[in-house]
Amino acid sequence: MDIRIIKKLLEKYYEGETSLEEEAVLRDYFNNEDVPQELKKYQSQFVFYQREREIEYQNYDFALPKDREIHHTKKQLYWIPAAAAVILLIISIIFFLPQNPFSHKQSNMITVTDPDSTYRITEYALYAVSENLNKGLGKLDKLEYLQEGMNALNKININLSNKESN
Amino acid sequence: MLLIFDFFVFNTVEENEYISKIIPLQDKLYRFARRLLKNEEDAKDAVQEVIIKLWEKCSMIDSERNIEAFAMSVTKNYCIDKLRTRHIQLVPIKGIFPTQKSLNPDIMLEQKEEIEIVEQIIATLPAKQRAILQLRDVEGMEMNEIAKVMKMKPNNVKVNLSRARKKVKEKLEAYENGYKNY
Amino acid sequence: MKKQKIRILNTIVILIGLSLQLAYSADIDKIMNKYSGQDGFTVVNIPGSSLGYVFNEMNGSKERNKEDDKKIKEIAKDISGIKILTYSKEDGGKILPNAIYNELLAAVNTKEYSQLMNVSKKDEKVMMLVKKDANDKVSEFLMLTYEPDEVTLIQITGKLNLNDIKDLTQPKENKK
Repeated sequence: MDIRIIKKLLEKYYEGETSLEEEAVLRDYFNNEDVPQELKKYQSQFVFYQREREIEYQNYDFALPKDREIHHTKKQLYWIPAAAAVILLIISIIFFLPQNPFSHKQSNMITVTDPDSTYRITEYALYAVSENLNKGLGKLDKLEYLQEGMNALNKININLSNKESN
Repeated sequence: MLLIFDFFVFNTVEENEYISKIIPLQDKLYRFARRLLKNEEDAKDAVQEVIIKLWEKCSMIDSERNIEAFAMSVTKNYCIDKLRTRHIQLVPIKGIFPTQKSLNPDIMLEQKEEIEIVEQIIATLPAKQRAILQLRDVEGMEMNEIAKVMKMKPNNVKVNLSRARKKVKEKLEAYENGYKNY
Repeated sequence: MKKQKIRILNTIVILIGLSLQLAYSADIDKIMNKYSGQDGFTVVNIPGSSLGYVFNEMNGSKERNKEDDKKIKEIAKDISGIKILTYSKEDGGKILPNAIYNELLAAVNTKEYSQLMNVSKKDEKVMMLVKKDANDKVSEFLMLTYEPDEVTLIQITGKLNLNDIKDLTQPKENKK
């Protein structure tokens, strides 16, 4: 690099008139080339600036401050639509399940409160279970009690529907 | 019940954007703060504080705005503030200056001494000039960018840059010539 | 901010888990309710209150043979509920009983219950399931039966002694 060019650039430099490219030329020269004695006094400055460029912060434990009061007026609620979308998804999944907990076909379950029906039906149920238990254990062939229970149940049906129509 | 389930961690979209923009600036901010405050520990604290400040203000930054210039500007303001509240102007003294050049100079060693001197000379400059010198000669910012950060007119920046550079040169020469008072 | 979001996300995960749980538990109540409104089905529920009154406070029905009475009372006093579902085409059902049996079987035969008995013939099927409590006693009993004309699902909840129930129909004398 021609020493005259360097000298010219240096003049501009100290007037604050060099461009970034020109400053790059100076920096490059003083950091990489053999500097003649008359220019040596300028070298340390450019070497210094170059060295400074390489200083790093070196504390990359980056955590956003959470325990301070942060005022975000505009953008902090973006996650609400996301959460709402997920909840809607869950609800729609529940609706499409075979056992839909929200469907309301009219329930016609008959609740028995009178003592007589209570007794009869309980008896029927217990006998039905008992027979089948024994059947499974090979002790009974006939289903007589089951049949009797069925009749009892039918009678109750008729009674109840009679009551309703009254 | 909710205390048990801390296994999901995620940032908001804006947090990630913010982090990805600010992290690359940390080095620059640190160097700038270090130049102004003349102290590495203080500079590290400054960066932390500035990052927090930037987060608080980040919703006010629109994407077109030059985040770097803004970040540097915040840093500058913070540091100038800190300087004002300091009771003692810190001038790091790293050793006794030799009164004359050694007779058998090893170039590297010589340069090393001089580099330290340069740093100390810059530390004696007023804060404004230190800042401009840093932004131009170390960070390579354009004149109008520096003007934005410093809130000065570009021409004013040029004048101060020139003054700062000249002063460094003069004081270095004074040292070279063996004067103690510089 | 971050903690709040973590909590909400976790609550959502829990909700998903619960809803899936609901999907696969055999809630007998739900099943009974669901079918009670459909053609051909009859669903009867005897709540604990009725049972308690009849078998603990009253002295049983006077019409019955005293010995039967005693046995049934002995068993029934610890029962907290009975539900019976029957399905037959005669009652208006349009679907084949076999299909209904299979449907109910799929609904109740979940891992909450363990199989006690399984009879599977062409014209007769019986499936018995039990749920046991912490002390290994039967706390819930299900019986699902199939015959060509009819399907029955009986649920008995409470403290049950299956042996006593079995002994109900080991007649030493003719009951009628």
